Amino acid sequence: MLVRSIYVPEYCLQLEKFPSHILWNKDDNLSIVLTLPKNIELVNLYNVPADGIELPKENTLKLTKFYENGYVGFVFKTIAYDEPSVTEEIIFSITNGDYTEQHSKKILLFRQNLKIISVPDIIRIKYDETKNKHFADEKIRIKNIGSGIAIIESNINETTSIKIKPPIELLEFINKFIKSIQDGMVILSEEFPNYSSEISEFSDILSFRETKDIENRFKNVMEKIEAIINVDKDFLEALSTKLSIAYYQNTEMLTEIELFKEYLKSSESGKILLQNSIENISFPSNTDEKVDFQIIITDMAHNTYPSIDLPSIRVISTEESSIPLYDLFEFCQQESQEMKEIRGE
Amino acid sequence: MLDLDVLTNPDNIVAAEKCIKGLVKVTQKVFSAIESDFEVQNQEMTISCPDGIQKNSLILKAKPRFKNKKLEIKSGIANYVALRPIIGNNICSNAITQTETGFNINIASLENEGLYLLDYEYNIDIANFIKSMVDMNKTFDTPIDENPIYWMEAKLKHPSVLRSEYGSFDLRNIDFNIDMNISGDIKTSIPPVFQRELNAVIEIIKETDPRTTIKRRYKYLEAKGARGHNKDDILEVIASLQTLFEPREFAHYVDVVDDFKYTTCQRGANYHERVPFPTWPKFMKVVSRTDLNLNKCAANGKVIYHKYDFQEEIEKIFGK
Repeated sequence: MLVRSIYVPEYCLQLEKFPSHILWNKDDNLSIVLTLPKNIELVNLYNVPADGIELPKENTLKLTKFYENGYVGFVFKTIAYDEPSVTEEIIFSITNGDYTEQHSKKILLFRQNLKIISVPDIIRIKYDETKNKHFADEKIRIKNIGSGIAIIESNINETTSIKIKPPIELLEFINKFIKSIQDGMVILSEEFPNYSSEISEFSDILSFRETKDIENRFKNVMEKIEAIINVDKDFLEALSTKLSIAYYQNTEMLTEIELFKEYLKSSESGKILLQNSIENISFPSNTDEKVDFQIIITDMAHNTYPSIDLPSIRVISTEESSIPLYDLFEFCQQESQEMKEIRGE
Repeated sequence: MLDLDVLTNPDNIVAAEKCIKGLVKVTQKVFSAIESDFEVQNQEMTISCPDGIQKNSLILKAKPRFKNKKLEIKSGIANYVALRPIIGNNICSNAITQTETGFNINIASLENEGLYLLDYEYNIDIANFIKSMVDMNKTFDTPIDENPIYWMEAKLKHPSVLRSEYGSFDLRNIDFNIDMNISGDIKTSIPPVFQRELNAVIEIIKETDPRTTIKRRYKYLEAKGARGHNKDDILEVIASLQTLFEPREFAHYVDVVDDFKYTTCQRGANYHERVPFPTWPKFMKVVSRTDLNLNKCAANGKVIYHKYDFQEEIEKIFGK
């Protein structure tokens, strides 16, 4: 083999970047031809001078010179495919002048694939005397048949009298908790003045809950914070400590148990995470109206997918009531196709 | 059409060169200050990434006759400087004096033709350095459900920049974080009866009527009785679950393989939540490290999460 190794990861989330590199003996002079599928774009090339690159044809790249012999690095970008699971192939053709060898590297590009299984025409909010609480008699059934995690958030049309908001007992805790985090962030800014603008953005975003471009803004802020914690462990520890202190300053036994319950409910299936699971949906007495639910979907890399507008649901509640948001949903489990293939089914 | 300027990113090379230039400058000042009285026989120049320091070690051979009584090295305020003879471990305590502009070597306390090891360390802007020098990539999610595997890769953006006339710099212990999804694992391992118990406790706490409280208390005891062998109070069970997320405990369920080595792990703040509660992690952040240098320009590794072993441990807490 002319090279020591060719690295391409086995899988990557769609829309994300993935890396690759080739290592070979420093004494060997090689040229490398890279053939890419049309949906994969090369976005960074390391250790190659501009005069060492030739473009013989579309989607093909020939590399003939390297600053430091023995290494070349790549970063590729993927697109959003129609299919939730696609395997692409990159061909590396390597020659030392006398001998040429070809290496094919496959990569699975996956994503979540959230499906609405059923939406009831009518949901009635009833009272269970034995459990001393209200419940929905029908549920919105959803499942993720893709391989990646779907992080979902549920919104309703603003015109309705029905409201989604944190339960009263937790609202006070949340407000105090956010206030404590924000106080902690002021101290953190003094400890890490280099990151003060990122810390300030992080602190601000906690108070913004209704902004329309929240997803993009959130992604942007979190990418900045993640970039810092990736290289600065002291900052990571300080940030984690501030969040823990804020929590323990405000928690009580009830919040501890309520939050544990919420934690369990929000992760009903490992493949769907309900983002605003802590919130309740409240109905005034004599509610009888059509409600439009919207499901906003993101993934673990904060990529946003087209949201799903559910058909209108008639919601009836004779008395004033409130139920946890997660009680409106049933997360159906289904094994992904990849897992079945891995199992040989 | 590929834009070669974007691909090869010449601006970034300039930024990387600038970073290294600052480090080389320190080395240059040390070398030129000592050459009259010492011969550099060997050297190691490393960047210790977690500490954010440039560490240099020089093996020096004193010349047969010293030309100076004292060498002034104006290389800036050092974090640490030490000189010791290669034979024997004693630091030559009088040999180094740190000053406001750098450090002095007091030749009078040294022997002609003696072999010495000079160590000195300087703080560097590590965040900027790593950004300029290293390309880091990782997977944010994995399609593998059974014992999930998360890949990571780090490589030098511009390796040639690490080479200087005094030798090449090694990058040691580059930190890498992976957020592993553990959100469904506790749920999967908790008996449904425990969730009934949770509800019962919440009802007791919320209840204000003492007569109803007694009824709810009975319901709670009934749910607790059905749980299994472990009859600890609910808060004790929750506390036991919490200990599983402590680094020393959770480390049992993580392996880091290939070119990276495991360093630590901690509860991942739930950054995907609008309110990042740190108490019940949906993610665990695994920190691992790798080294890069001119002989190893790229590194790849995997974090393997032993999900079923973790779930088994949770089941034990519930007395299954």
